[in-house]
This record gives sequence, structure tokens and C-alpha cells, in this order.
Amino acid sequence: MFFHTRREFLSTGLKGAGLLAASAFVPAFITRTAAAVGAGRDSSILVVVQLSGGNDGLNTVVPFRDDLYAKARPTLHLTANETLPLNDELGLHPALSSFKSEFDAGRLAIVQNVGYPNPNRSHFRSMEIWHTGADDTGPRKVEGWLGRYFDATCAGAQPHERPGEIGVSIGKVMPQAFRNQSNVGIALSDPNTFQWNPSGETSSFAKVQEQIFSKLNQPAPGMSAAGGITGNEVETIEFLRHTAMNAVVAGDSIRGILRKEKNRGAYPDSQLASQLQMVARLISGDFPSRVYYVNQGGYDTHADQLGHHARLLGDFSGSVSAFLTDLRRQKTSDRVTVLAFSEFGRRVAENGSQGTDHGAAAPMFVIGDSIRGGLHGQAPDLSDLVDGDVRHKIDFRQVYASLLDSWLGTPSRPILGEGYEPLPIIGPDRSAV
Amino acid sequence: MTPLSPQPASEFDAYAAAHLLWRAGFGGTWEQATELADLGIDGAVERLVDFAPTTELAAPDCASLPEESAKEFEARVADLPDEESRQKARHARNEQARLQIAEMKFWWLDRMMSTSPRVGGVPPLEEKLTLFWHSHFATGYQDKIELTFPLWRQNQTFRSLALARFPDQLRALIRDPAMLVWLDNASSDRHRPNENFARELMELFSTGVGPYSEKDVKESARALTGFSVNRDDWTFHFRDKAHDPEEKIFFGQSGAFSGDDVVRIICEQPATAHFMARKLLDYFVCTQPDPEMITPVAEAYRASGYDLKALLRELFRSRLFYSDRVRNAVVKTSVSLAIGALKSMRVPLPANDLTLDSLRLMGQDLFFPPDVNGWPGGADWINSNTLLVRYNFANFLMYGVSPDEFKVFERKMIDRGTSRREFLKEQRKESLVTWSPRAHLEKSGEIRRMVTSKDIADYYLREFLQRKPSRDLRDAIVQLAETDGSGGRRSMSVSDPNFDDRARGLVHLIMSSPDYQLT
Repeated sequence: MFFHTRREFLSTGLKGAGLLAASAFVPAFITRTAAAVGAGRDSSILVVVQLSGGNDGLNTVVPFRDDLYAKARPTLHLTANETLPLNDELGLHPALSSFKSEFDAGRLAIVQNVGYPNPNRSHFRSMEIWHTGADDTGPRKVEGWLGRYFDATCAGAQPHERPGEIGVSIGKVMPQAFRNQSNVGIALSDPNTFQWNPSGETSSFAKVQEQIFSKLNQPAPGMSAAGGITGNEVETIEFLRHTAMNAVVAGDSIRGILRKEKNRGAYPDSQLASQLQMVARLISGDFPSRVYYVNQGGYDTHADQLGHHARLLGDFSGSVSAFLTDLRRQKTSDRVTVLAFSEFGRRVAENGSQGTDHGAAAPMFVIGDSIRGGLHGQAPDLSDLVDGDVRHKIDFRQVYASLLDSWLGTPSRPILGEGYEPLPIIGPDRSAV
Repeated sequence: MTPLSPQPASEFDAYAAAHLLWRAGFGGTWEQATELADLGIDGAVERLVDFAPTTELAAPDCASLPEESAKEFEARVADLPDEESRQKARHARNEQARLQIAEMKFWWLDRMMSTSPRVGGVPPLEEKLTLFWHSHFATGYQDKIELTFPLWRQNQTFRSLALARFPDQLRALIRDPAMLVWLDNASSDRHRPNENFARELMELFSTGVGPYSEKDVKESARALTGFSVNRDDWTFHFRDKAHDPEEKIFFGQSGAFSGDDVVRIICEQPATAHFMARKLLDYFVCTQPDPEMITPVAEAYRASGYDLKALLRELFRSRLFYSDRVRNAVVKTSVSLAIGALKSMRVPLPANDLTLDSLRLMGQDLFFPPDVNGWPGGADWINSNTLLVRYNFANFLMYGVSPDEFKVFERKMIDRGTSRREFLKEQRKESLVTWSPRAHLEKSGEIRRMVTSKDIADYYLREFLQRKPSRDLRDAIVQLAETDGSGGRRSMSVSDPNFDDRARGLVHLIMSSPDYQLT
């Protein structure tokens, strides 16, 4: 899926992948699906930033005018003077200064009180709900919302016949949001590990080893990799083969791009920033993926929240702003939208450890040059709580639907189900190719 | 105890014994598998499940608390004259901490290496369970603890209670200093209780998500207030003034509950036995066990008062455990993969940072679980980051070549015009891995039996894979055994002057197969 034609694949391939391509065992899905990807100079790209642990929405977009807020947060509340005012009643956390300029320029949309029915306060279950788009009121789903988008781009009748797009998650693990029927995605932390090293003393012996290696790790024709680790040996081995081959082939392409492309401008020194730096270079090098996933952890602020939360938000806004600046300089910023979410907000009342426990609804961020900025929805109503938590007014799937329909250009209904009215957050003239 | 039907004794061969040893421990040599098989299924299972708990174990040096407490250190640093010397002092302290935790990882890995099913060996199941509890009650070094001592103490608690009844484990857990700090219970106070530990105690450690209400979370958080830690010596400390002695309602029962009542009521819930049965089956028997498999095991586990030894004995003797559904259906954890390979090689753990780097890259950094949910296992061991590192780890074991930097160095060498042979010579860290496949073969006493290259391929397949190979894998290994150094066709023979190199290539390839990832 990384090359448009077999010829291009063969000529691009460095030693490792080139050899695999030259052998009779090239994974067919690599060469045959590239045309379906549609990624390239003109297509829109989505970058998802996951804020893991449950970001405290109330101290992110602060209802400084509301007495109930300061009352519930004797040690943690921020005053009107401390925040960066968005209007008469709401202000951004002071660490979000670079987001304030994006907001003022109309490039930051804040969607308020986002959540889902029957909020679950478990990190893991709530994260699963956000990743799969299936909440506790209906049947569970295994595939992710982005995975179902990838499947929707498949050309064949059966997903594994002609697999569609795949996503790239920068980090150690594969997000469930990517899980799909047709293929395995790329989890990327260090592309230097994406290669198999033969051990033969001579090059000719190493070559034989590589051939045998590629044969052993050759996906079987027509077999799906979607089974994952099912407990069925044949399906599991197929999943392993797809994973190995995707990594070997993508690795050469990614290493080539990262060698060539440079970041433009300074980034903070943080893990989130390095992840976004890699995404910026892959975008500028035209890596054919339309969905990238990055993660910032540490939001589970049960104790000593104030300083910790400020550092997290400073890193978040600083890294995303540096990323946007980089994209503007490489002239791709109109093609990229950033979506930031967390699995839940936090309890309105603080606990006795100068922290907050798990809550429910919270704001979501959509950022980029092609979006419709501003505040969407109403400020949280702290006089109408559910179990001490903010009640949700906008369903997170409405935000997903807006991005699928108007940004990635794929009908959202088959992916998310009925009843999720899109919001006007994407600029009118930027529907996807 | 359970309605699981027993495996017929006649079907317990060395392959079955090897399967048992991989699951109940970290693998072993083929010789050990044959010895276990000779004991018969009952004798072999008993050898693994029946051991005296290691209650007394000397703490390694790396587990000591720093002589200067954090408070004393900060006071001393504050008195230093300038920023440069303050930074230097901080750097020295951090470096000391980094070495301590690295040494503690080696300490535990070495203990896993020393497990053996032979009489007098370190019990394999005890360490396999210690690792299970470390992942189940996942506590991380980073951010909140950053000391080896409390984590070593917790590790030893898990070990001494490896086969204990679940309520006893939970009673120890709610008094475990590392856990109480990790999940913020140490600072929880009756006036504004902290829910972090109370929630995870149910969601991740006992009932699983679902059976409790938000009210139950709040009430148990109240009951657990006061369960705290003395930070000077990292011992459990009950803060009477912080504890809420009033009445609570928890799972429909009411009383002036404290932590032990919470544990008792949690263990009365059928959900707890079900959740733990599923996790134990997932770890020891098969990934994603079917509901029909879980229910009878859960019922038996609860009816026996959570007798884990009886449960595992029954499982390891069952027909189910040796069925096709279960064999080769579990992805080896990264630690099992590494320890098992070294055991097959019969060499000690390479005492080098590359060993720890490899494990981290393969996704299992001991004492650094990804989060409080531990290592999820199954498919989560395998993604594009980890799989090729697993494969290249074999290269490290065979040749001492770093799993992630080989090609980078190789490119440099090519630029300098060095031959591949010279490059490998430079790269190989002979002092780290001094494995001789030939010596391995000689020691087995089977060297005279090695007539054809197929014999040699089959020998290393058996020693490393320890099950019958798929046809694809065997064909591939035989093909390599019939290829000489210049890529031409020449069968391997024990009289080859470069036998060791060729045999290393075979083992490297066996471990670079999807098949080797499974057990």
C-alpha cells in the first residue's frame, strides 16, 4: 500500500525490501492496494492526539464566572485573572497561551460538554468506547472507528481481498481505534527496528537467509490478518506474517523519508513533540497515510494536580502549535486537521489530595487551518450534574461524523450508525478529495 | 474439583512436558522436558505445582533505600553554593537510581533463569506467578515511586504469596506500600477520599468493570482511607485520623467497614472468581478463553475458597490443556521468549544493557508496566515495533549484535569499504554471547546421530521450538542447512570447519519465524 505500482515499489526498495520484492513472494496487498489509498499532494489528513488519563476539562476551559466552580475546587480553581479569556465567562488555562492565538485566528474549535450516554468512569472501558464508537447502551464493537473508515476505503467485496488504507500510530502500541477487518496498521517508534538482519558471514549467504526469511513470513494469498491473536494458530500466524511484512516494507519507505525530510522550526523537548515531529516529516515526505495517531499520557491527576496539569497542557499546546507552524512552513497546513480528545473529564469537586477523580463530559479540540474555529456548544452547567460530574450535551460521535463526512470524505453513517448529527466545525470549502 | 476431564497418562510425552514447562514456567532444555515426561503426567504436574513458598529471600544490594533520604538530599542540595554543583548532585543521585533499577531487573531475570523443574531448583511456577501478579497488580517505578526498595518488597510479597488464596493476596495488597503510593491511597483522607485505588481494586484487580456502582467506588474509597505509608522507611502505616470509621454501604451490605471488609465482600462476589478465572486461563491456558471454558473454572475456584494450587493442578492435568485449541495458541511474553531461548541455549543471561534494551523494545520492561492494567498480552505483544525486534533479538543471542542498530552500523561499514565478515567480527560482542552450537550438540550425546543436514536441522528445531514444526518451517530450515556460505548448495555436516556459524544461522532463522513466537 505504500507504492503506486510494482515498478515504483521495486525501484524504491532498498536492499531489504528490494530483495523481498524481487523474490517470488512479494505480499500482493502491498502492490495492489496503493491505487486505492488516494494519499498524495491533495488529500486531507487527520492527526489524532489522545490525552490519556482523563483531562480535567474544567481547568482546561475554565468557567471562571461560575461560583459553583470555585466552591467545588477550593485549592484547584483558577481565577478570572489567571485564565486567558475567550469571552465573559470562559477562559483557557494559562499554559494554553499558544492555543489562545490559534483561537483568536479562528483555527481552534472548542467543542464543549462532549461525552456519551451512561458515562463509564473506567479509563480502559471509556477509552474503548471512544476508540470503537460503541457505548454501554448497545452491543460492543471490536473494530475501531478509524479501522471501519479504513475498511470503507477497501475496493473488494471482502475487506481482505483488496485492503484499503492503513494508519500510522507513532508510539509503542497500536490503538484499538485502528483495528479493522482488512489489514494491520503501523505502530512506529523507531524505524530502525523495522528491518530483519540476516546473520550470514557472506553477502550471498545473507541473501539466501533473507529469501528464506521472507518465505517464512509471507502472508498467505487471500488470508485476512484481521483475526489478530485469536487462539487459532493459523490465524495468529497469518497476523504475525502481515505484521512482519508491513513493517519491513513500510520501514524502508519511512527511513528514506525521515533521512530526507527536516522539521521546520523549534519544538518543545517532549515525547509528544517528537511524535508530532515524525508526523510532520512523514507528511512532508508524502508518506501515503491519511491518518496519524499520537499520544500524550499523564492526565490521571488524582493528586497534586495543579503544577502537573499546567506542565501537561503547556506541552500539549506548545507541541501542537510547533507542529502547525512546521506544516505552515512546508505548505501543507491546509491539508491537516488535528483532533484532541481524552477518555473523560474529571469530577467537579476536588478530592483531599489536591487532585480530582474520574468524571464524565469534557471539551474536545479541533485545530487546523481549514476548520471553523470558536466555541461550539454551551458552557458546562454546574448546577445540573450527574453523580457529581458534568452532563454531556454533544456526543463525541457527532465530532467523528463531522470529520468523516466533511474532512476525510467518507459517509459517516455506515461507520458510526444513525443519529449522530455532524457539527459545523469543518470549513465549507475543504471537503476531502 | 472442576468438571475438566483428565488427560490420559499415556499421551504425556516429551512434547507435552515441554508445553507444560513453557506455560507453568519459562521453558527449559529438551533434556528437562524428557525428564519431566519420565515422571508421568501426575508426577510432572506435582513437581511444578508443589513447592514450598519462598518466604525468606535476602534482598539484593540494589534494593536498598538510599542512605540519604529524599528530604535530607533536598536539604543538602539547597545548601550547595551554585546551580552547577546542585545539578551535579542531582545527576549523581539520578544515575545511582538508574543503576539500582537496572540491577534489580537483572536480579529478577537471573532468578527466572535459575528456575528448573529439577529437585532443588528455583520453582518455575513461583516465578511465572510472580510475573503474573506483577502484571495483574501492575505497579510502576516511574513518577511516583522511583525507588527500588518498595518495588522489591512488593515483588517478594507476590512471590511468597504466589499460590496463596486470593483474599490473602488482596489483604496484602491493600497494605502494600508501593501500591498505596502508586494509586494515591496513601494521601487519601476521610474528608475528601481519593477514589483511584478503590476503583482499580475492583475494576482491574478483582471484579472487573461492571458489577459495582459508582456509589460502591465512593464507599470503598471511604473504607480504605487511612491505609497509608510511612515514607521514611516505606512501611505500611494506618493513619487513624485519616480513616473514616462511619457506616458505609458496599455491594448492598452495610457496616462500619474498613479495608479488610472491602476485601471480604469483593471476594464474595461471583464476578471476582469469574474475572480471575478468565485472567488465569488467559495467562496459563489460552488467549481469549471461551465463556464455556471460564464458567466451570470460576465456580470451582470460588467453591474451593480460591485455592489456586488446586486449580492449577487440575488445569495442568486436564485434557483441555493438551488439546489443539490450547497448544501453540499463546504468544510468548517478551520475557518468556528471552528466558526460554537462553535456557534452550544453556547459557546465562547476557549481563549487558542490550538485554534490557531488547526487552523494552519488545514491550516488556520489568517494573515499568505500560499502565495500571499491566501488560494486556495476546495480540498486544505483536506490532510492527515489537515483532522484528523479537526476530533480531535472536541475532543478538547468536552474534551479540544489537537488535536495532545493526543496519545503521552496516551502512557505515559499507561506506568504509569493509567486508561483511570484518564488520561482523567487529560487531560481535563475543564476551556477551559465547554460545557454541557444536558444544551444545556434543553435550547432548547425539552428535554421532547427525548424518545428514536434515538431522542437524531437526536437532535444533527440537531443542528450540520444542514442538513438531510446521512443514513450512521445517522445509525452510532444511533448505538453509543445505546452503553453504557462498549461497550454493552444500549440505551441512558436523565436520564443517564453520559448523558453528552455519548452525547459528539455523537457530537465528528458527527464532525469526512466526511459529517461534507461540507456545
